[in-house]
Amino acid sequence: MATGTVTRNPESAGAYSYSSQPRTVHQQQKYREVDTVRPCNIMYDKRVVRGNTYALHTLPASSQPNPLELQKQQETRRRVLAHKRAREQMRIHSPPPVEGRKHIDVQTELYLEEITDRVEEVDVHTQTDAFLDRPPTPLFIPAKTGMDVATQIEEGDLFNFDLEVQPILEVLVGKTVEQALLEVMEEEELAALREQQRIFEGNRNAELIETQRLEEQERRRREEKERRMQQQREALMKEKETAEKVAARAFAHSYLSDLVPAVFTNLSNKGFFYDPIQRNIETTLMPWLTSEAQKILDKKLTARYLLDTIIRRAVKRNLGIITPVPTPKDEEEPPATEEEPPSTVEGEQPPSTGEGEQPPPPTGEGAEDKPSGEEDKPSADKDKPTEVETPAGEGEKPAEEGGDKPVSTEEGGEGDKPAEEGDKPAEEGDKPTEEGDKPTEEGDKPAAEDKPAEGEKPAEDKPAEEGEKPIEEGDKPADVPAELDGEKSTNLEGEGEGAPVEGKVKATP
Amino acid sequence: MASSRVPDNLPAYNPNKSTLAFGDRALPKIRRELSSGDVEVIQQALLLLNDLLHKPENITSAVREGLVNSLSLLLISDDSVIKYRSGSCLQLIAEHALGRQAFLKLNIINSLSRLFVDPEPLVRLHSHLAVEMCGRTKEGVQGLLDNGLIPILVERFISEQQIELKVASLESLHWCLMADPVPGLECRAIERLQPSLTAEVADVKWRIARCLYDLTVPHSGKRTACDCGLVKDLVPLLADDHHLVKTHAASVLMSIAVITEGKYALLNEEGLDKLVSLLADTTPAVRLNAVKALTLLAEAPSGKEKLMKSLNEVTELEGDSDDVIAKAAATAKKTITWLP
Repeated sequence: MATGTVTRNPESAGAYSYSSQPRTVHQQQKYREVDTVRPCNIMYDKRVVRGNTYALHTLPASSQPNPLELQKQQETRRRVLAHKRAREQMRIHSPPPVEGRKHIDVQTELYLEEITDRVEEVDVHTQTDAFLDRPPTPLFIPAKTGMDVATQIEEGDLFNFDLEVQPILEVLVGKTVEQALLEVMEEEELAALREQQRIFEGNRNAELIETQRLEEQERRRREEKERRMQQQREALMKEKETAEKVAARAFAHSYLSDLVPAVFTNLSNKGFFYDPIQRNIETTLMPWLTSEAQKILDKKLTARYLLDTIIRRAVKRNLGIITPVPTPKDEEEPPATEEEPPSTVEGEQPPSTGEGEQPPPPTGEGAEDKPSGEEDKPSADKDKPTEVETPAGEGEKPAEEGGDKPVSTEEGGEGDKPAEEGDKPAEEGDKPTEEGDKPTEEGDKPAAEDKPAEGEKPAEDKPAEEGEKPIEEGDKPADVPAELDGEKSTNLEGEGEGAPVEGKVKATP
Repeated sequence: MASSRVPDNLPAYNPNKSTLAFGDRALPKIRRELSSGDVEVIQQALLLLNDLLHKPENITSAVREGLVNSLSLLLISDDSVIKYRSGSCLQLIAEHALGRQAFLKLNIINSLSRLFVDPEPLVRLHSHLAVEMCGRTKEGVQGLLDNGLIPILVERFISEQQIELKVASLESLHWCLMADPVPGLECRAIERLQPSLTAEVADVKWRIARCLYDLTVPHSGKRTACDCGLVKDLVPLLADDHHLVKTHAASVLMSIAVITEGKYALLNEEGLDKLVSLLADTTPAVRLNAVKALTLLAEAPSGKEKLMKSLNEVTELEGDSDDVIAKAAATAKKTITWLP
């Protein structure tokens, strides 16, 4: 259909000029022998990869070439170029042309060939015919086979569309309408619910506010009430305060009115306004005076004891020679004398605490009395030593002792007369107990006699050297020092206390 | 009759919808299709499911079939059509108690609330509607609160442009605030909603007012409302054309007027006269709220003094057809005429 024409333009030859005479083109064969593909050694084939495939130069994964790599490549390229240039220079060239001439290329091949830049060409044209309208495809009519048979079907005989479609249509429409109704009803229901809910909510809100209003009202009322109560309370408190203030004022008035005189009287009573001279005498002179007196008396007392001891020793020495005949009268006397001093001492002791001056004189008296009593006694002993050791003396004493002390009676039971003497020491030894009893009889001594329990020892020690003698000595020393101690101590205490007590009494108000 | 030609009058066939399997097999088939992963198949299945779920019986079987879970997985799909269609399916499911239970169990609310920031408005709308349906019950509201939706919803309301979306977010917000206004107060909802009160259309306005009412129920809310001058913005709304705006504006004022500062703020703004004029309104809710608000104002001495003049209007209301209003009017009258 399409006709291709090759024009060679022979007519238009005149319009062009040719450098060479036109000539027929050598008709090249369309098919060429594939002589270019020579069998080659694959050892030198570039397409065959030799060596490790890992070192194979592949395209880089990233589109951006590595700059380092790029540089390296450039360098190699440059190096190769330089190398090439160097080799070019190294090659032997034909000698340079003579002056005025120049080299030209000449063909040295066996056959001369025209050398030209122009590629040989052939113009070929093809022109298709204009398109014609495609005739319509004839209706495909299958080849007729078999016999023709016809059946007459009247309209509505076989298929009544309207009738047939009705149930399906009904279902379709019904379903659609049902769906639509469902959705509309749903929406309406929702809307109704919302409306209902909204109205209910409105009422609920109103009621809620009513509640809040009442709460608020209640709160306000409560606050008001509390405020009122607070006010009332404050008023009451102020009233009370005022009343108290008035009372306090009145009280202060009455209290202060007689405060000054009361203070003065009280202070003067307590001795704040004292006579300095009198006080000086009381606090300084009197204690000094008493202590001095005491010292003197002590000395005297010591001297007397010494004397007593001497006398007693003398008496003891003479005791074996004289057998005494005791008389009850004499017996009675010494105890009386003996009793006297303590009694006086005791009787005056209490006052000693009160008055600092008094004690010494009584002790003095007691001391005087005692020695006198002792003097009497030894004298009595001297005169009639029997007095002490007579059975009568025993009779009396054991009577006392027997009642009070079984020990002494036992001792008494031990023996004879020397035993009687032994009795005395026993009595001495028992003195503490006896003394413990004596107070009951005498009633005066207790303090004085109780103390000797301690004071006894020195008294006993002394006589111990002298054996059994110190019958009455033991008595005396035991008694007196004790008494003295007691007195002294009491005196001292009395004096010591006397002043402070006064001070205290005065200070307390 | 035999013809190779395709008939022109084919039965109606919706290529967007997949075919419905018969009876019990319908929902399992849909579930299979939903988890198929092919966007087109899922879309078709969702469209079909959307129609099916309008029937309450199907809800039960859908929940039992585990469709809620499949739908929630589709909410994170990339295709917005899938997202909004599954959102609307979930909305339909949420209309039923059974569906809401399933929601709470699977924590669908969380997945839905993530869609609040979706670029596609339709997706946002459906997620809002589904969440809002959840908020209608006590358990559902608890679910919303547990997900901390209040600040998010306030934020959404501020940033949304479309009225529809604003309305939807306010609806959800209302349910949340009604249940627990404290998080709302914490995120300063009153201050943030206040500017919109004057700027928006009626539909949005009354919903804002409703939310504000919820916020002012606690004492701290009332005080905040007084502090930021809410009364000044609300009093003009009492003269609005829309009855719901009036109702809810009156309800907010009523709530604020409980505290003394609120009463005086309202009296200063001359809200009393406007409230008195509302006593003759045709809407019962407006009348009720107005009369309640007046009752509260009557507790302030100056309010009582002013109200003594309009005692007639209050007295008239005692014969109202609605006995709630009549009762409220009686209370109001008692309060106005109360003497210490």
